[in-house]
Amino acid sequence: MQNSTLSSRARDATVVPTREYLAFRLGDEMYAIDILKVQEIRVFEAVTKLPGAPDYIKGVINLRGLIAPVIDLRVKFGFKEAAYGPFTVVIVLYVHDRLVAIVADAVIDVVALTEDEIKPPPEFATSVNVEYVMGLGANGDHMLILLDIEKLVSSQELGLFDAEAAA
Amino acid sequence: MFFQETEEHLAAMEGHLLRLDPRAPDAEALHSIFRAAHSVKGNSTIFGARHLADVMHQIESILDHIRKEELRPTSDVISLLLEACDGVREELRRLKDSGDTDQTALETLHDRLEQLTQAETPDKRRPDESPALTPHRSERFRVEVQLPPGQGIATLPLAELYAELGALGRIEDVQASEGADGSPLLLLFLLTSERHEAVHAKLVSLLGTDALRVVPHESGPRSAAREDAVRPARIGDTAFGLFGDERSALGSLGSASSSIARTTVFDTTTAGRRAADHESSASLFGRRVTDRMFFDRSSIRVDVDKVDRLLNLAGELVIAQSILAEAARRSGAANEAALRDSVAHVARQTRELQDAVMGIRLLPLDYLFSRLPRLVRDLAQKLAKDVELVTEGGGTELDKEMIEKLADPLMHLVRNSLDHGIEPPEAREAAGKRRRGTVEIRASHRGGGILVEVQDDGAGFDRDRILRKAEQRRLPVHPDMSDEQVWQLAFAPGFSTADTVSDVSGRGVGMDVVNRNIRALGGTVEVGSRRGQGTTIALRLPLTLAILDGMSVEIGDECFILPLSFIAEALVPQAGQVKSVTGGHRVVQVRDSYVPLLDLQALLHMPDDSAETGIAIVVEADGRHAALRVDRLLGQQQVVIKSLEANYRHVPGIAGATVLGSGRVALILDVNALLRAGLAPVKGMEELAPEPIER
Repeated sequence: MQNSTLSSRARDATVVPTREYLAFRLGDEMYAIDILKVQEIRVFEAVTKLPGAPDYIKGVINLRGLIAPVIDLRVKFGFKEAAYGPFTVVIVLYVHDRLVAIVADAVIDVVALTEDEIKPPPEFATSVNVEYVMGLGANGDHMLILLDIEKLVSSQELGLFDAEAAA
Repeated sequence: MFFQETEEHLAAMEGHLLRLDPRAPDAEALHSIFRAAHSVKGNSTIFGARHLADVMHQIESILDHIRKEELRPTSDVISLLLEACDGVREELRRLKDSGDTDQTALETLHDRLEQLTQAETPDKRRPDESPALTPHRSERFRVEVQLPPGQGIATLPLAELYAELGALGRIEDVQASEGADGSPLLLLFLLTSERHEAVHAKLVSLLGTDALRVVPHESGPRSAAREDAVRPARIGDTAFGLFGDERSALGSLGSASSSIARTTVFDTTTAGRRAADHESSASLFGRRVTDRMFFDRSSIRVDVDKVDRLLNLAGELVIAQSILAEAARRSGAANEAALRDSVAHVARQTRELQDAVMGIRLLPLDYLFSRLPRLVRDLAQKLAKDVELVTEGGGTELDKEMIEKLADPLMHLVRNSLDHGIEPPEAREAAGKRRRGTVEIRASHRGGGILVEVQDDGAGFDRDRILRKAEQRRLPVHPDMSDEQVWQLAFAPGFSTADTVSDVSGRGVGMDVVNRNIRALGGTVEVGSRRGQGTTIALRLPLTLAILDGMSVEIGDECFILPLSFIAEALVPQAGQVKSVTGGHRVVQVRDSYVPLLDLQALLHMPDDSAETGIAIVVEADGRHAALRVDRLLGQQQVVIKSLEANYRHVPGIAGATVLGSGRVALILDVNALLRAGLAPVKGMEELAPEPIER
């Protein structure tokens, strides 16, 4: 399965002097996150809504008995469209001892990048707060936005954690 | 591991010390204390906490004197020993938290202990006791020296060993053999007048290793035949990587268990490490550690995380099974009956598995009760009261987490009983009561939960005084309130009738905190009190925090779980039964009273698209009633509570989550919070007194 090939490639990352990133698509944009933060990739399933939660928190899902929130970054980043189709996936992340799932339109590839291949974040405005962008990379002709997913997920802005837990 | 184990040994020591009769100290109890003290010492040495070991050594000396009837365990002596336990415990805490040590505190302790041994013993020593070659009181020790595998006995400095040990006493026998894990073992049987520590120290300095044990051996070398500890040679045993662990495990094991028990342990094919685990988890039960029950309840120590994972898996299995059952029901296969049978079978098995795994988390209440004698003793002394503590039903089992969270409220209640309940002996006598007051703690199973009662035969609640205090605190009171309502006042935050604030109780945080903590556990607190006769406080608690009896309800297109314990009744409101009152609130008529009707959809920020009808569920929380409108009742079921906070955050109005048979998540409603949010904020009395409602 997709899952197992990803993790086996992640293991190789320790051998090569590059870091591997999981590239995924949100709308028309390509993003990449540190693959070591990724626990698994699942098909998007029905979520249970949370009362009073912000719109980018879709709800919670059951991950083999653990309850994890599902974040739609497309909503958070202000994309016009945030549709759920058969290819919509959730990427389950393991950050700060917590499980958080993010919605992606598709998972593209695992990309190995050396430090040199990562360009500094742009000065111009992107849909993402530049604070959470580690840099820009390339996958063929496409530009990859490298997200500091750990920082983003634990940010006050996203409000996923109780204040004291985030501290 | 070191800290926990040591803490357990200290607790065991304390337990025995408290029950020690100064006039006729029970030899078995003394042995137990001695063994526990010795384990602490051994552990401290291994851990490198020399100063702790020194203090423990002094304690051992005192115990030794008591054991030899050279010193009477007067109340003062016991107090000093208890104090020493505290000192050691504090030092441990310091070591654990910050790695700091407080040498001076321990030195003071050490000196005081030393004074005791020196002051008391010389004059009581028997005149005929002289350092003769075969002294009057010599003991047999069995010395076990462990060697790394592959290293022969011959590599030891045997000649020196014999010479040195020979100087200490008489070597009765020497055997070369093999330990349970296959490592070579040298056994020496030594008859000596020296103390155990001296022998041990000598050996350590001689061999430069800790991998040895010196244990009292009652019956001389001929019993070596039954030393099953020494198992026949097992070559190529690979279990040896654990040597470091085992060494320490062996140390504590050997000293804490009796010779017979030791044999039993080694008899089991698993190595010492496992055996040590047996021992230390048995110590969880406080005073039972070194009692005769010791090895009757063989147990292993397991990480709570592992149990939780098992619990999760069992829960998942239940869900997977229900999905299977659903599929089986729908499929029109020819062998449907057979399929249904096997599904039913799987269902039974998974339930049993789930129950069994759940049971792992249960601990007997003795674990808590064992801490109380010390508390009562110290407090009674401080308050100059004569109090007897009776505990009953300590075998009642409760979830580990509950036990932990019950500890503080229980201590508080006992403190309260001693401070405010039980009168001073003179006052009791004047009132025609026994001088000695009684605090009784009883635990029992009641229905699906347990009941813990704290009862004292003290003065009881003072109704007038509570009313007066309540008035001062501007709580709404009136003289016609029922006793129950008055007692409830005592649970108001910051309420205390104590005239002076002591460090025992009276700061007014007590009852309020007790009430909150117990409620947080899903339990209730009830008070019964009669002036001059005493007070009973009853805590009712669910068995476990992990499972909840719930009613699944549908609101909009989401399914929620409503804890059954809050539900009073459910009804379908007829036209005219629902009335609007000022401020947009609605009430529903339940027989001859009106109950506020809460709009769950608004409270849960859900789009309100439901029709007017539906079902009103009358719930009760904190003595208040309200009706919650839901669309449909889906059925009653037991749900496994999962944390939302683990990966997300607290959600107002939601107590937790669970996974339904469909694999989907359902949220569990927090009735207390919903009522607080939904009902108009009420103050004082209204909050405390339940609205009159007919059941």
